[in-house]
Amino acid sequence: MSTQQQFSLTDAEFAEIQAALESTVRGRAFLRAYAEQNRLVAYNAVVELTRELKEWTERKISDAAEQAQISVLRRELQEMSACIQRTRNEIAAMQMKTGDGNANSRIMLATGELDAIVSHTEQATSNILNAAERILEIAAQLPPEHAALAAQLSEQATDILTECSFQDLTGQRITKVVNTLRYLEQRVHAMVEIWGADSITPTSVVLPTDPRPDAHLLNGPARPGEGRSQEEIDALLAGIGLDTGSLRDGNTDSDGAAAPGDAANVMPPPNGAAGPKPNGTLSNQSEIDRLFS
Amino acid sequence: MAAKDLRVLIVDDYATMRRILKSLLEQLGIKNVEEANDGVGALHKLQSSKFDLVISDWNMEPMSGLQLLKECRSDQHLKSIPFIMVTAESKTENVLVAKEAGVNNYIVKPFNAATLKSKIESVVGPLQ
Repeated sequence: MSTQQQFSLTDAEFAEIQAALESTVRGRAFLRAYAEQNRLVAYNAVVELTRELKEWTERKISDAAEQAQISVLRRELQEMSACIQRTRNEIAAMQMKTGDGNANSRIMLATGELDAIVSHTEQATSNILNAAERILEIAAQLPPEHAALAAQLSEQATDILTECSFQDLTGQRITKVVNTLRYLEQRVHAMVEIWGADSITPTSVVLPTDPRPDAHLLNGPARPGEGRSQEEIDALLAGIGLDTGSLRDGNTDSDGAAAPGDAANVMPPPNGAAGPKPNGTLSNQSEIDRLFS
Repeated sequence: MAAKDLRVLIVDDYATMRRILKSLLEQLGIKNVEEANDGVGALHKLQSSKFDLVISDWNMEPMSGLQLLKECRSDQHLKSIPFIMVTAESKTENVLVAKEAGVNNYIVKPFNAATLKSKIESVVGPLQ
């Protein structure tokens, strides 16, 4: 059996047998039938191969599309993750503790500064009113021959009194800002709780920095109870052997903190100007007067 | 009307503003001045004592100047009391609402002494 299975014809042997078969009618019939049978087998084999090739190609295309989708999804997820991280950092930066370790947020600090502005302007206004009222008293005490001067003094002092109403208006405006800041603070706090940002130390957020070498010493006017009075500073300087003399004539705030000393920047509203006008649909005094005439 | 006989109630939640108004009234010869820092305190004073004029801010808590005005106009004894609103609320809508509620005059902050004098005189007559 093994010799039959392994036996192969040479080209010459094949040609000899083929010629022998073609020499007879039955042999030629056999060859035609054999060729026909082989064509059918070959056709079926080609069909099967084509089907397999088509399936293989479709499978490869599908795999590639799936891979592309997964790649896009992965990239989107990475971008979302980075965005969430940036948001957490931003929120953490808003909540960042101050240099002295206080847990107050920047918004709360800003709110405190505005409250201090109201307090300081109120105190300054009170002092100005004291001075104006004293001028009125002095004008009233002038002798009759100085009546014209007394009238001028009274007029100017009265103007000072009325201009001091700026404190009421700025106070109302600042109160609005403070309320808005408190609202923002609540919203930020809610976001911190949602995102768990209180456990994050912001790394990618670029915080504003002051390049001056003494920036850490520049905190602006002290809030009530935080600063030193001139007397305390004099005592401190005297304690290190410096003769301060009389640096100031008691120009300290009521709370003992050093005064900002920049009152020139506090500008009252123009004389006779209307009140706060956050939008353009408001009345002025002359328009109001027409309503009452 | 003689300024010295006029009894005025100033209503404002800002102590500075009350002080300014009081000083200006004194300049006009009006020495008889009382103060309240909101509508509730003002109403109490108005119901327990006689006043000739109310000069009130609008934006106060818990009772605003407009509420105070309405309370006055619905009170048998206070419905005719002269009432001037002095406020930073300067929208036309505000003025119209105040007028509808029965305000006698309306001053927008910031104001000057001359404006205050003219509005008072428009309500109580020339000051002597």
